[in-house]
Amino acid sequence: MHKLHLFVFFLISVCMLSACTQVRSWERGYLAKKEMAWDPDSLEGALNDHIFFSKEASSGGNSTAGGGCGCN
Amino acid sequence: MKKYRSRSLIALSTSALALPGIALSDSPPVETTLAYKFSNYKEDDLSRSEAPFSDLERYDIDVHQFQLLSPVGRNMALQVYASHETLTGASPWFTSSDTNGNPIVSLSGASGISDKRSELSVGGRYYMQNGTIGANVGYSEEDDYKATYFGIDGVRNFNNDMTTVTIGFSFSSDDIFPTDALLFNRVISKDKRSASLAFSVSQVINQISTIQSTVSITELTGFLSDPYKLRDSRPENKTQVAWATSYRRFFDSANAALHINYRLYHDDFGIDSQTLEFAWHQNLNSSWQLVPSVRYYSQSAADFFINIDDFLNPLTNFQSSDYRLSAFGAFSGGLSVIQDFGEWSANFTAERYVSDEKYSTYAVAQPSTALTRYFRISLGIEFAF
Amino acid sequence: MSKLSKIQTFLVLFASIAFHSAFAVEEGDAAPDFTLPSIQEGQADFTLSAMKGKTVYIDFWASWCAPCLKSLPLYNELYHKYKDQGLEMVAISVDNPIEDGLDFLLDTPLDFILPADPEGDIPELYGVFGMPTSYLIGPDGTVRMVHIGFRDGDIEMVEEAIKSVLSGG
Repeated sequence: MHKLHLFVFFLISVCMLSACTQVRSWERGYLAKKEMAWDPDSLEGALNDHIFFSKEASSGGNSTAGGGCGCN
Repeated sequence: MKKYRSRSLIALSTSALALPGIALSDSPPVETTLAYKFSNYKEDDLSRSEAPFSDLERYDIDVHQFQLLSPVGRNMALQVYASHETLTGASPWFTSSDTNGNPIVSLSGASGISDKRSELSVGGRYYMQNGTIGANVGYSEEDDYKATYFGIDGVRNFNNDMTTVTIGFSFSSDDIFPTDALLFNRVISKDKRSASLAFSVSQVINQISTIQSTVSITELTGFLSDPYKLRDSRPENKTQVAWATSYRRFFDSANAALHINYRLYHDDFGIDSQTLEFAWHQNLNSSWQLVPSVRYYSQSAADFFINIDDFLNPLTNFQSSDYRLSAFGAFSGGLSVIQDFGEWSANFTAERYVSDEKYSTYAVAQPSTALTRYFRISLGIEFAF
Repeated sequence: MSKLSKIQTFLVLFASIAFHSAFAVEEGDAAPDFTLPSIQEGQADFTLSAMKGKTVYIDFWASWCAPCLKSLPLYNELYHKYKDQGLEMVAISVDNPIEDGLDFLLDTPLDFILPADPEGDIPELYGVFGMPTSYLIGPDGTVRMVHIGFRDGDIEMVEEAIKSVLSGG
């Protein structure tokens, strides 16, 4: 539960940043660069998610869905 | 002279779906892109001291991936993903102890495993004034495994497109029917279901940086044990939570972007983990990009993990010597080279992954002898038309 | 965090979201006048009020904006089709540095007026929200259409609007 409080506080602080600097639509040149995307190479992201899922015990935290596997 | 326009359009098209809440994220991709990637990763052989009595060769896997991303009409985008994987080699079958009481592992069968996996998923996204709605369905099949899944999500922009909130739900229904079940006294046919809910917030911090945080909770029910291990019995329910935060920052003077990802994970098998990744996307000139990356992973052991199978422990007690449930840490380092030729681009990646119980930040009561190390190479191309 | 400070935080959050958007030029408004230098050196400055009596289509674009790049060649065709009927086309590049916009124009020449506004003063003046945004201004200087974004099929809609204003509608 402690971690949940931390996450809510984190969310609120992130939203608070909105009160600071507005970045207007014509100022988004840097953000539009491919290297600034959350996932510039989605095949690489999907591949890594799949490999790490089959070699480690953790998964999730991202929005890329995928089929399960009988990876052993 | 289409070169410049196509190159910038490709770059902007493929990132359109992925970009955090900018004014353009409410528009479908402007061009159709097709991407293909071939990868091979091979696990290091075990050493004789780790596996005195069995084959030493582990997995060697080839993966082919395809993706098509296309605008449909005025307000929609279509995404098709397919992958095909062939796998040869062997994996841990059981663990025992040598004359000194140290754990040793035996890999499955002299002939090893040969398996194929195919997956296909189709998704669509509908673009509105202040957000989008997406849905996807998929199917994957292996010689001994089948999965059907679907997902839906909603994305909403707020605050002059500075803040984006995403909610997603996905569900998967899997069937497992181990090969040679009767021969090796394995379960014949079992199933499992998994349902997942994710909540994500992205925030534009300033003109050059963004941050995103996602919490996902997943509930698994059904047969969660490994049917190929001689002695493996796990609970029929698992709840797992993951909290991942990502940061992106552009450095104008260097013409490069820094990526930092951090994920915390916890499940009720007793596994806690942390993952930290850094990547530096360095533009060399208008068509070459170099991306070095490092990843550090650390996990604790499952409550019921033992590193030496105990055949006298009744199966009603949860137990597993699967290395993936042991306490260990892993480092990986990779380098990608990307070249943009205008209407098409190529990428090459090499990555080395090493795991060891000494790298874990958690207590290691029983280290596993079967931890993996592997080397991966990938080659990909993308077309836009 | 105490309950009171949590409530205060939420109130500030709500306020910042609720009262975000300020002024924006809408259909029916008089188009605010402005002067901008050309993106190309040696070319004349552009002043909107000097266009009085003509139908003016103003488009805000940038080399990093995919829908913008898709629309510009289509606008070029439209310009050639209707310039003799009194259409003026003005594509304002908000690229910063200006060179990014110039690079695009080297590969894709456009035949209409091309001012540069790297500081973003005019999109600010017009209250631009979203890229690209275009304004169709009638001969009397009032805004007849504001169009945000550019998707498949939009060019037909833009052409209809231009035809309508040119024929005195």
